[in-house]
Amino acid sequence: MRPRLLGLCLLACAVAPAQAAMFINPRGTGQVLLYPYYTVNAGQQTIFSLANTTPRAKIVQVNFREAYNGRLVLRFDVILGANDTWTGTVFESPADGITHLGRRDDSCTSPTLDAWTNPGTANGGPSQSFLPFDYTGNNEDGGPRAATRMREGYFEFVERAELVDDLAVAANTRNCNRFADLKPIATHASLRPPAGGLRGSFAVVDVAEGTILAGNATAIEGFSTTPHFVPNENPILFDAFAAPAVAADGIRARVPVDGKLVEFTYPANRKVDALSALLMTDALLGDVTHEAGLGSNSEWVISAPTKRFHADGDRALTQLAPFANLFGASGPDRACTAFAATLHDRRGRSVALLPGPFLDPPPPFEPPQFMLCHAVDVVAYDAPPSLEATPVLGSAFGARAGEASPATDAGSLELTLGVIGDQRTFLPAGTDGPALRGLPVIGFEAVKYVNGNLTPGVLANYTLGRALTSRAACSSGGSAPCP
Amino acid sequence: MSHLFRSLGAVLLAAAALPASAVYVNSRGTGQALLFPYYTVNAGQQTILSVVNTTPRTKLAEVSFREAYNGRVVLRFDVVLAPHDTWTATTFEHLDQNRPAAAVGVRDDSCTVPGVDVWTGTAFGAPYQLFLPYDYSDGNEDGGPTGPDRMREGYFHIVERAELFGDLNTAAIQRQCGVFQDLRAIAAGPLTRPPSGGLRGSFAIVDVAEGTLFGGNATALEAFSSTQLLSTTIDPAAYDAFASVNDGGSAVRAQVFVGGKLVDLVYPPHRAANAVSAVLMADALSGDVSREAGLGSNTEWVVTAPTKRFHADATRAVTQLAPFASAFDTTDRDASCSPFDATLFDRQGRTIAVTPDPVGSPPVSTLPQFAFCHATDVVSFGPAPGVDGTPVLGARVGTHVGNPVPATETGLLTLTPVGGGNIPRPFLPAGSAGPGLRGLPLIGFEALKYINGNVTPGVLANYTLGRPLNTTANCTDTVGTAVVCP
Repeated sequence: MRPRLLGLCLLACAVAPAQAAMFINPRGTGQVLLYPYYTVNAGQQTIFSLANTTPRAKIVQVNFREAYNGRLVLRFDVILGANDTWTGTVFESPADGITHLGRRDDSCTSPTLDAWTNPGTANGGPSQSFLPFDYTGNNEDGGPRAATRMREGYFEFVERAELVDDLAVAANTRNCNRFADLKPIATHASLRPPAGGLRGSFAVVDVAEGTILAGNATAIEGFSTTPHFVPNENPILFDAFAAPAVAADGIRARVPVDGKLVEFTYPANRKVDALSALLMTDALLGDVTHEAGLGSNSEWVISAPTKRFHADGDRALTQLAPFANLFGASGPDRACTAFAATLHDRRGRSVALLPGPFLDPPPPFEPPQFMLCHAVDVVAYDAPPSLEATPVLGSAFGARAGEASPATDAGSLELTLGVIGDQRTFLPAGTDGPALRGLPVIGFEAVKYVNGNLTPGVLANYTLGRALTSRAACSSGGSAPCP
Repeated sequence: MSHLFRSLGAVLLAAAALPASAVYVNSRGTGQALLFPYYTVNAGQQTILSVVNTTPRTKLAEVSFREAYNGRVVLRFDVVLAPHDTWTATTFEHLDQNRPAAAVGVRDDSCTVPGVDVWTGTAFGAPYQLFLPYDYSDGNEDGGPTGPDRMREGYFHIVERAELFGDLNTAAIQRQCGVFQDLRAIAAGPLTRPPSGGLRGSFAIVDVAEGTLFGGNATALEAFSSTQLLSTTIDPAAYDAFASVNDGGSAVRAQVFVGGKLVDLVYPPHRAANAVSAVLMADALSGDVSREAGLGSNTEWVVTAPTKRFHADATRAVTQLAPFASAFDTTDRDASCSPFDATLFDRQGRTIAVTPDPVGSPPVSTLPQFAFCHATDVVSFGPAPGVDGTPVLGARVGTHVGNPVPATETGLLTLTPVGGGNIPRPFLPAGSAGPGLRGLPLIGFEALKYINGNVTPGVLANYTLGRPLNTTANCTDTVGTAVVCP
């Protein structure tokens, strides 16, 4: 792969004709797929699939982003034939210890396979190593510069266009050289606007432990009505996720708020706010367990795929809000925004979550408390004050939500996102619709039970991945009233 | 206890109401009505469920377990959720008069109506209630099986009836459960308000001995009702809250995501139940399947039609038969079959033929193979189900989609409901505004199990996962032809 291409920037994007409002599709298909997590920590691999549920060929941009600041660690395109599925694995290469993407089928990619780090089949190949160029050299952001920064993060897939005629034939017949250089394709007559119908799934697998944590990608429909290519520009430099189509009167998002589907409009210079609006979360809701008798632990993976648009210093594309700090402002390798945590036991009784203890000197791996500080954070329930790796996922991005008082084995946890003192952060209102309270996130709950009392010969690690539920709420901080 | 449930022969209500918004599936997972695609007690499994009140207000919610054949009620009761309360329960197999029977047990002290003091008894230190066959036997026969095995798998839903405040709120918090035992009196009193949502639900199918766990979240319907779903005259056990969708006016509205659009639909009062079917309409189901010998993997899909009974329960239907093809136990014995086409694509996108099992291969069934024939069906893709049911879930209802040619271990499967006779594809007829919708009203999830004997010598590792199936939708004209949505 051409590493120089990945030291890149975010681009101003194409103007497009009128479109319907974007929305999160509860059916799970869309033009854009957001995968909350990948990891290679603790002996795990992350397997994923991208399926084209339509009979039309598509070209899809693939972006893997690291957990600190959402900087790019791998970008390329995959060309899906009709009803094609593309699968891959993110793993630690036994050859170099670096995070790699392994390819598991023959769908075409651009760059083509011959340009990948490891085009052969040895060491888990064919594979492409993740690349640090977007956070090193001229692209440093104040965060770590080591290769270990690429060991966990999230990823997003964006449909660029549908393909017809000879390009569709090339996609379906795996004539991959046709896609080796996407520049001429950017203006090709066989491009059609993206039309959605992609679906995605992922699973974090630990073969030795017999565990699998799985879920589906969050799907955004109505993202664009024009192909995602800019004539005369290298397609690999184009940040497709930053480029939802804008109509003459702005860009619209439809969000379920308090029992209604509310429409929001943002001006063109805040088009990425429409994406944040879709994900705005006043509170995350889910279950937690830490029962000694069951050997159970709960963690919540919380990803903010649009955080970089707001909080990545010189790369930001819109205002900082609803985030509280730019990357580096609240610590050299973080951009923290506080949350409040409320635990209710199974009876509905409120259980206090107390901060601390604050140890002096601080323990060597002291996680942030009541803070989301990265593009991906893993809130570990009832975790110890020193947390080098979270108990379930082995994440280095552990965060704590206090200590339950009295100690509580299981309950319902609610994280109220975006807290500054007695104020709440909010996504400012656009040209239509109210402000939205909280932070733009997606996430899932990872639960693991370890049972040593079973039938001999059965390794009893039970794991479960389940999407977190959430609540949206409009904010009085906006100029428009709540509907 | 049983007499309290005997009036389950359903009485469906259409509630008068105040203006509100349109029912929709909430992508964020909270709502007034929660649809759980499956429970089972087969093959040594239990089903753990939880419902959480994420609001600071007390809620009264109706819990209905329904069997897989025809969606008849096997248990209905109410649970009172105090502010931020969680209610958890487990369906499990329990001996009843020395016969294995399905039951639900609670390890939770949230109030129920009827109260747990009149439930069947105590098992493993917790109250339990046996599932009850009265809704398909004892004068309520529907042509399907009448034995207790019919209750071993099915689906369930939890519907918010009302919010409770004042002394009722206090009683809910303090677990003064006697206060709630007369819901008709409560309905007549001043301490109820219309439901407002904010419930979330999750489920997990667990086999402790095998170390397997399939989990998921309930499908959440928001803006389901703008009136309290309680009656001052009708026994709450006979009140079908899930059939009582309303938006306050004389018509019922739904908002449905179709392709890249949000489509508004309106149904007249006598077709109100169509609004719920509309939000679940699936033109096609798609998901992954895996049957890799080297990985010991098998996939099954649980496909549930929670509103099928509104259309296809011959004696209980509350609206037209469409989009279903036949009423229960009319064309098909013990069933109501809607056929589907199965299309498998391998990872290269190549079409792989899947053909029905050869005649005479097990299991013997008179039902069409490529068809959804029940309220809940388990579609299996591995070896044909045997005497113990399907390989992963041990299900007894459903169909087998095997025999890929050429042999294929993994791929993308799409199941597309098709019609019969002169109707090429089934569709939900249009209401008073908005288009028709093609397909069937379905929810479901993929259950995948790997058995790996090569992890550590002498150790058998079972990996399992549950993941929602994806769906697509399509608008139609008045005769069912697909059209661009308005």
